[in-house]
Amino acid sequence: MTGASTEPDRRISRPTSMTMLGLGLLVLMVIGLLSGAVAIGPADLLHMLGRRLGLTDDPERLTDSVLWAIRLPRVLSGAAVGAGLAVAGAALQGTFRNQMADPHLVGISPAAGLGAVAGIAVTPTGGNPLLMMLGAAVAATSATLLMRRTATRVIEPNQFILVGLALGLAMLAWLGAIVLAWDSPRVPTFNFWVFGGLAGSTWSALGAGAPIVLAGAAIVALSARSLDLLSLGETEARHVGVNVDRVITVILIGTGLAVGGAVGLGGVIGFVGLVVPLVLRAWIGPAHRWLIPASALGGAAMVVAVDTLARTVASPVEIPVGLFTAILGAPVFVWFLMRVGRLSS
Amino acid sequence: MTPAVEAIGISYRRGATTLVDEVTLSADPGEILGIVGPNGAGKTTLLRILAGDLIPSGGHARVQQVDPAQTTPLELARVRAYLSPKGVTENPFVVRDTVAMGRHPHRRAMLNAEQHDAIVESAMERMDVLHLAGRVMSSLSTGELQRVGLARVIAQETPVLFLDEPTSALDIGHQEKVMRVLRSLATGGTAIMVILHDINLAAAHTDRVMLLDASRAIATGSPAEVLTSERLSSVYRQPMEVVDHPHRDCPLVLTVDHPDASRLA
Repeated sequence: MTGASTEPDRRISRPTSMTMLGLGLLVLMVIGLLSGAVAIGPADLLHMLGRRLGLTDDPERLTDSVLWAIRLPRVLSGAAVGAGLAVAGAALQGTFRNQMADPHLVGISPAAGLGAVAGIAVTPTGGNPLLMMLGAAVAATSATLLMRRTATRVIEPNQFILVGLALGLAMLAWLGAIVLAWDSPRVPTFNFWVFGGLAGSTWSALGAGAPIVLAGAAIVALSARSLDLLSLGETEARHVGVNVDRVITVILIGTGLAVGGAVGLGGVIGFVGLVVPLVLRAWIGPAHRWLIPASALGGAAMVVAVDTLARTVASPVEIPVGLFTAILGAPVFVWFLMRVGRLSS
Repeated sequence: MTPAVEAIGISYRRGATTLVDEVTLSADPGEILGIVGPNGAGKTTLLRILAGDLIPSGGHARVQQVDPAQTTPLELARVRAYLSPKGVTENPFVVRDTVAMGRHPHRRAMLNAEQHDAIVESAMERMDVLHLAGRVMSSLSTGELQRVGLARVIAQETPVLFLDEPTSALDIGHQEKVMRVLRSLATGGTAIMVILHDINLAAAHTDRVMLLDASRAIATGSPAEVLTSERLSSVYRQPMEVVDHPHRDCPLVLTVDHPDASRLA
């Protein structure tokens, strides 16, 4: 490095940052497992793990089944939801060169909700949640590719966000109309589609949704170099050899899968995809080979933490996760908009 | 010698407007071909066709024997680099990372990381941006962005360079420096096509000049042949006088008072 370097001072190296994020997530997951209506201590957690791994023949306790059947799928679902949304946010922001792009704000999460309900409609009663997850993934991918077509027609970044907001509101209205008119116990309530929720987490839903999130996140992670080059702008990226249309389609399919799986598991939760990449970009820098995995860890940590709060602060009443993410995320978004306004004036 | 760049009867029409009208040109390896002409003459459109950004409505183009409209972006990026007038757009990366993006088409080449880094380093040094290597792009001035763009293009190490007004935001010292670097690249065998608004820069530093006016190439040849006072005065609608440069072996173009000047004053 030259003496005049003003590269953002990283007193913490990127591998160290990743380790910190990973450990932070682990700690938050353990706290999540130990929090709730039934008092569970670390010893109970070890007891459950010991029995599951076949290390002990101790008789089953009540806490074992609470941990295994309720809390563990819930915490893991929260992690998958957060990872999927944050990775999708980072991918959208990179692809559209718009730091306000977020799966919720640009209408992709509400579209995924509509797809999920369509998936439920074609699933026989008591059937596997896979069709719901796939419906969400297909709808989210379609909405993402639609927004790509929009982006090639609008110039102003704010206009792109407004088009997305309109798409999202329309999707939400259709979703509300269908959910309220159908009024079936098989369909989660309208609340779930507006503010999300992890109360209904099950192993079977996790088994169907998590692989979709993982596949989407992996596709985005493998496109890290293309995302870096796209920051030059599409024309310049093409000049240095990027097959722009192809890589963007691949990235957006990955994004759609990540959002679809996340919405299928946790409903429509806002601001995670916006705030997590925003904060992490400032922390570890813009290179996507670090930003994407960091967003996965950071998003997972955020949703696990917020879900733990959501089910403990007003216990036994549960507050929807999305309310908390909005309370935390909206001010960050407003601050960011003000900062962008100041920079461009 | 096979020309590095060849265009035969290239046209580009959008609706009823013809932006480029049957332009024929060639540039050899080692040659600097300057493109001059008034605003709207079709210079940028011509360069973008050759660079593969636009598909011509008529005619053929060849860059290193390949048709830019028929080649994959990656193959094209190995034969030509292109600099837009803005240089490089703002991005969240630092200067060094941005210049290194020029290495993308060669990342599968048999080079180790140190060799790639050395090429990036040398490109930054030649464009006088090495001292900015760790700076974030958003902190640079317009002229610095343009030099970073040039460094990125040089790091791409292609046999053909297309440069659209690479000196428009540069101070006079950096203008001359850039033209010296282009000359040394040409000496190494690179073919360079460069749009210049500063006619004297074109007169002093190019091997041949093509003068475009109203979508057509109206003259191509050595600067002394093309840049005559009659031709320039008529094309730019501004009286000009061309004299011999007192120190360099090239023409020197001077603007003189417009006949309207006294009337308008």
